[in-house]
This record gives sequence, structure tokens and C-alpha cells, in this order.
Amino acid sequence: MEKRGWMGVGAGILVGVISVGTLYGISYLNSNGQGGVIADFQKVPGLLNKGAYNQTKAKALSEVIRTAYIGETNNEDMVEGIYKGYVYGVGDGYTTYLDADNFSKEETEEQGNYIGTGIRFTWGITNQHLVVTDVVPNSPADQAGIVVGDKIFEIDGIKAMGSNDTKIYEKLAYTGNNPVEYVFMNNEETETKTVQLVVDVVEVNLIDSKLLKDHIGYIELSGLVEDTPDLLKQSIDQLLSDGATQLILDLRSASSSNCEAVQALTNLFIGNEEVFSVKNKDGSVTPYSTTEALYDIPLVVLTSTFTEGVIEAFPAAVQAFDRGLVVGDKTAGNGTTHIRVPLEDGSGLSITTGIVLDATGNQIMDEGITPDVAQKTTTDNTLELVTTGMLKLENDVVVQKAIEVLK
Amino acid sequence: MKQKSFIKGTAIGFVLSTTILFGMTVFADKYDFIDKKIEVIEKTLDKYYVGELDKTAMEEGIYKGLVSSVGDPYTTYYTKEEFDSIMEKTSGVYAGIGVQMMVDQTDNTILVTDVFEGSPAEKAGMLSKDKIVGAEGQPLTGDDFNEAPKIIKGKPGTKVTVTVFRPSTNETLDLEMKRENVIYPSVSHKMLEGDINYIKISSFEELTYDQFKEALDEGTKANAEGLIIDLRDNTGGLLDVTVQIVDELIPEGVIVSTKDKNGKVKEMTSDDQYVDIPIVVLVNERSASASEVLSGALKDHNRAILVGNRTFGKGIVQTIMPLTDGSAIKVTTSQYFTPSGVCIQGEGIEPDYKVDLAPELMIKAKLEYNEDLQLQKAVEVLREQIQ
Repeated sequence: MEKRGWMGVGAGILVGVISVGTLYGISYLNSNGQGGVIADFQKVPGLLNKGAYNQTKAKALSEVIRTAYIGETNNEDMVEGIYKGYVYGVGDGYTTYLDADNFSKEETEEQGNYIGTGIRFTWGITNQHLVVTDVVPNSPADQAGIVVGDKIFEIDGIKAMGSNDTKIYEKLAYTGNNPVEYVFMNNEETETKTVQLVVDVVEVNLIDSKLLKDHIGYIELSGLVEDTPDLLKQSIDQLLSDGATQLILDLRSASSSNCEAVQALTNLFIGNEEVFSVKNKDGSVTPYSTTEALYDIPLVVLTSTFTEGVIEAFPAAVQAFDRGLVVGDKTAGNGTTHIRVPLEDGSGLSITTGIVLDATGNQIMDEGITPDVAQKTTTDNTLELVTTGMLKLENDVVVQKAIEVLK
Repeated sequence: MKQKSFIKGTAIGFVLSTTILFGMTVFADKYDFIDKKIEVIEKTLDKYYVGELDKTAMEEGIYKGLVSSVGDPYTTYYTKEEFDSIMEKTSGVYAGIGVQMMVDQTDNTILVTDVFEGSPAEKAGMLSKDKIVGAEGQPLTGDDFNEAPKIIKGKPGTKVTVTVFRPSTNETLDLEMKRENVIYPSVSHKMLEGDINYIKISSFEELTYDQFKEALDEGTKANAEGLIIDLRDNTGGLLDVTVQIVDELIPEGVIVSTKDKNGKVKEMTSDDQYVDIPIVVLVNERSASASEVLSGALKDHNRAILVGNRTFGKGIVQTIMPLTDGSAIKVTTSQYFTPSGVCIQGEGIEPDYKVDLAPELMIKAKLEYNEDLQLQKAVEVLREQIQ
């Protein structure tokens, strides 16, 4: 009997509603030997299956991988995979198992620091290169002269193609000490440069502010950690002294679940109110209130589906207390709090512990915060971003809508 | 619009100051240690996790995590439910709406890559390159790719509402359609000016060889002097069907070979019968797998000129092994090589003539001939070959 081979693409490109299994690789083994059933391990309660899983089944799976998988396999990875998969099974994106490396990485990044080469990217439209969308100042990439709009074609000899995405993500997220070789081209693809980048810990500026026409101050927040509200205050003061009379606060790529930081952010604009609260596992509710507000400047808050976490309570409070208008797309709808639990061997867990209630007492879950003025990004904007690496504010439909609303 | 960011450390509220111990003494068996750690994780989750814990899903998670740990996206574990659904798909007929979709990584949406002729989706007005942003009132993004079919599929005759966003006109539409049993039409063909037989293969299915042969024969009857095979957006399918098709197009020789973990090589060959007219194959960045076998074989045998864009780059084959409890494991077990001995995994096949489409045309549903620069180039190259 001949081998029946289904072959196809996976990894981000998966099969659809009724598409025949093109994208699932399937082939039955031939009948002389291996194929078919590999091990009989019906669950026998109290015998093999005393714990959380069936040990015989796990052993059988690892045996299959060891003998049949074409690449290298390694026991440690499989064991880590067991823990990762077990916690993943909880089905909540924020409840995860962190191996020792990721645990310490998260600890560093929580301080607003960043470990890496300093590149943010998006896939180019063909998925056959990456486009640099941001270069962290003073990062290794910045020092190597990489600029927004540059394209990445190869990393350590691996082509930056959709068919390699797992490997490419691994390379991009690598935090070890060895240099990684990147092949860049400028946006017009006329010049190639090959650079070796070694990751570093870089302090990230989460605030980007500028004064637009008509005395409109524009501030983009790309995250919110403990000291962000204080820095934000400095940016606003600067804009005010430069003549700003109205403010756009762009939270479209801001995620944060730091309750105190969100409270402090809200306190800048909304005074003496209970602005959100958190419902805990035991049913108790922890309120977060503000004191005297600092600014009464007219405010528009920009949101998107990537505005995620406790920070979603901020646009909700702006709406509830009539402090301004929210413009953009619905927020992610994932207002939850988390703790990180270290385990003895250096690994750890991130666990969702509470649900955020907005200023009106509604859970920020599943349904996000609906903006007052809905304005999704357009295809033209997306095309501009994935081809040039950035979207100019004057072309950004959401920012333009906000300006229109302020007028 | 979202820029992938590596900075996500802003999510955590606070960190537990005490470390959870589980007695890292030496265990007699590796699995004893695993069991102990799993137990500790379970207790910690029980103590802190705000929702209910689904222990069955968590057990399945163990098997999934173990198998995925090899770091190859194609090597995966399927639960019984998932495996049943795949088996249903391979039969080629099932209740659906008649579209093919994929995740668009540029904006993490579900992109419709094909709307089948006569399908419920076509009747309801869905177009290729629409984005499926919701179904039955539930919003869907690229993250929900595996969930979407579960919502959209159902008993024939029942109704489903699918919400699509159409980038080319910037509108969002609610389309109501009645589910039907849909057969996948994988080949379409027409005669182009200058006696050119144009055959589009959208996927390699059970019936694709027969459909291709019919289209080829009709071309011969119409005195076709050249052949264009359009494999753009064709993401793959059955290997043996692909081999049958290549056999019609090349003289005696190797079509493709596979090599497994132990170095065992298996060759698939063609006989000396073939249709001897000039061929141009159209490929793009979404031509993958079986499409790459076909274009690689024709290119290596100098039987075709490739026009378009570099192909996707999938050169590995998987084997599915069912387990007794109804679940299954899919493992990447071999690589395949084009006749010249190249494995195109992560490399793709470079076309002889690279023709890019402008980004705004790449998102358009159906290209007119005067917009389709790749097809125009194919016709031009083929005409030179014919003369």
C-alpha cells in the first residue's frame, strides 16, 4: 500500500471552514508495522491514571516523537512542554507557566526595561520579510543604524518567511549572549546590510508626545508601569507650557494590568471618584479611588482592540464621569489582574486572580469598552504600516477623527 | 494595525514574595518529579486562579504541550474531538458554507482565500479576500481561527450569520447563509487568446487529478499550443494526486523524493508518456507544499517556466498516528526533495520571472486581466515559448 501524503501549510496559515485538509499534513503509515495504533492505554482509574494525567500516554507520545520526528528532540523541552501545556489547558491567556528564562525576563520587563535587540516589527504583506516599525532608542539595533521601515530578510541564515515563523520568532525573542546575524535591506530594497546584534537590557520610553496644529497635544502610551504616570505628568506639563489647550491620549497599543498605575493615570484627569474596582477570587471587592485631579484640559482617549488589561478601566472611567470622549475601536475586553508565583526550581506561574469592574460596576470581560466615536483603522492605514513601517499621524484616520472631534 | 511588540511585561500586577517549594530532592524516576511539580502547580492554581479549573482540558494540555515542545508547528497532538473533525474534512464533503480561509498575519484577522462556486457563501455575496470578523454575533480575530469553524459549521439546512469586513470597499457586512454539504471544486479552466489553455488548481484533493485531466484533454481538443497552470494561493493537498498530475507533464524521471529520520529515501517517478507543449506555472507567496512539489518538478525537468513570486517554502511531510483513546499525534516524519535534490523548507522556490503585485491589488478579490500583471507576464513568456 502506498503512502498517502497530505501536505500543506500550517503555522499561522491554517485550514478553513470547509477546506479539505490541505493544510493539515496527514499521511497514514503503511500497514506493515508501525502505523495505526501505537499504544493501548485506556484509562484505568486508580492504576496508571492516579494523577492529573495518564503517564503511559505521555510516555508513548514522547516515544513516538523520539523515534519518528525528523529533527532533534530533547527530554528537557518535552518536560517543560508538559508544564506549559498543563497550565495552557486552563484556557485563560494570562494564566501561563513560565520557564526559568521567561520568568526572569518578565521580571525585568515589568520595570519598563526591555531585553532584546530593540526592534519592533510587522510582517510585510507577502510574509516573506519583516518590516521594522520601531527601534528602541539606544538599543543594539539603534546603535547599528537600523531605522523604521528597514526590512529584515534573514536572521542567522534563516529566511524571514511565514514558513519559518516559529524559528524566526525564536531568533527575534532570543535573550542569550551570543550575537545574532541579521540581514537588513532599506525600505526601497536598494541596499543590503548585514549586522551582528547582541541583546541588551534597555530602558524603554513608553511615552511619545508631540504638539500638533491648533494647540492639540498628542501623547502615545505604549505601556504603563509603576513610574509611567509621573513621567506622563511631566510630558503633559511640557505640552501645556508649549501652548497645548487640548489633549489626545493614544492608548491603542497600551496594555497594563498594574492597578496602582492605572489608578494614578486616572487620577491625573478624574478627581475624587471610585474609578474602578477588582473582584477577587473570594468574592471580595477592592475599590480604587482618586484624590484631587491634576488636569481639566479637554481630553480624547484613543483605544483599539489591543488596549488591554486593567488599563481598559481608564477609558471606561472617562466615559462614566464625562471627562472626555473615547475614539477608536472597542478595547480587548480582558480586564483582569494577575500575580506571578515563583516556583522552587526558578520557573514560575502567572495566574489570573481578579476581574476588573469598571466605574459603573460592569465586568470588563469578553466585552470591551465601546468608544463614543467608532473609528476603525482602514486598509490604507494598514498597507502604509506594513509597507513603510510607520503610519504618519496626518494619515492616521483615528487620530484625524480625534482632531475632528476636538474641533 | 498592530505592531508586534516584545515588551509585554506590563501585564503583571504583583509578584508573590514566597517561592512555592516542592522538595527538589532526587526522585527515583523522572516522572515522579514531573508528577510532583504538576501537583504543586495544580494546588497553586486552585489557590489563586479566579475562575473554575477544567481538569480535563488541562490534562489534554499536557499531551499538547509535550508534543508541541519539539518546536515544529506541524508536530501536534489532536484531542479526540479535533481528530474526528479532521477525519471528517478529509472525506471532502461536509456541511459548511464553502470557503477556504487563513490567518492574515499582517493584522491578525481571518482572511477568506477562496469562495467556492455555487456555495452558500457565494450565494450570500461573500468574496475572496473578505475578512471574517464575526459569526453568530460573536467577534472573531486571527486568535479564534480554530474556533471559527466550530461556530460556522453545522447541520445542512440550518442558517448561520457571518460578519465580514471588505477591505477593498471598507465596509462591514452581515451575511446570512444556509449551510449545505459542499464539495470542494479544485480545478477550473478556460481557453485564453492564442490557443493557451489556462488551468487553475486551487488545491490537490481526491478528485483533482480527474478534474485536471479533463481540463487538459479539453485543451488538447481545442488545439491548445501552450499551458498555464495557476498555483497561486494553492496551499497544498494530497501528494499522490500531485504526483499523478506531474506524471502527465514530464518525461520519465523523478518527480519528488522523501527522506525520513533514518535516511530512508523514497522516490516517486513518472513514466515516459506526457503532454509535450510549453508550460508556464504561476506561483506566489501562498503556493505551498504540494504546489511546490509540482512547480519544483516541472522547473527541474525544464518543463515549465515559473512566473510570479517566491513560493511559501514547505518541504516537510507529516504522519498522523491515531491512538486507542481516539486522540492522535501528527509528527513531521520526512523531508521532500525536488528532482535536483533541494529541500525547499523555509526557502521556497524562486520564480524565473519575478512579478510583484501592488499591495492594493494583493487584497483585491478577483483581478481583471488588465490588473493581473503576473498572468500577463505568463502569457507573454508562454507566447515566446510557443513560437
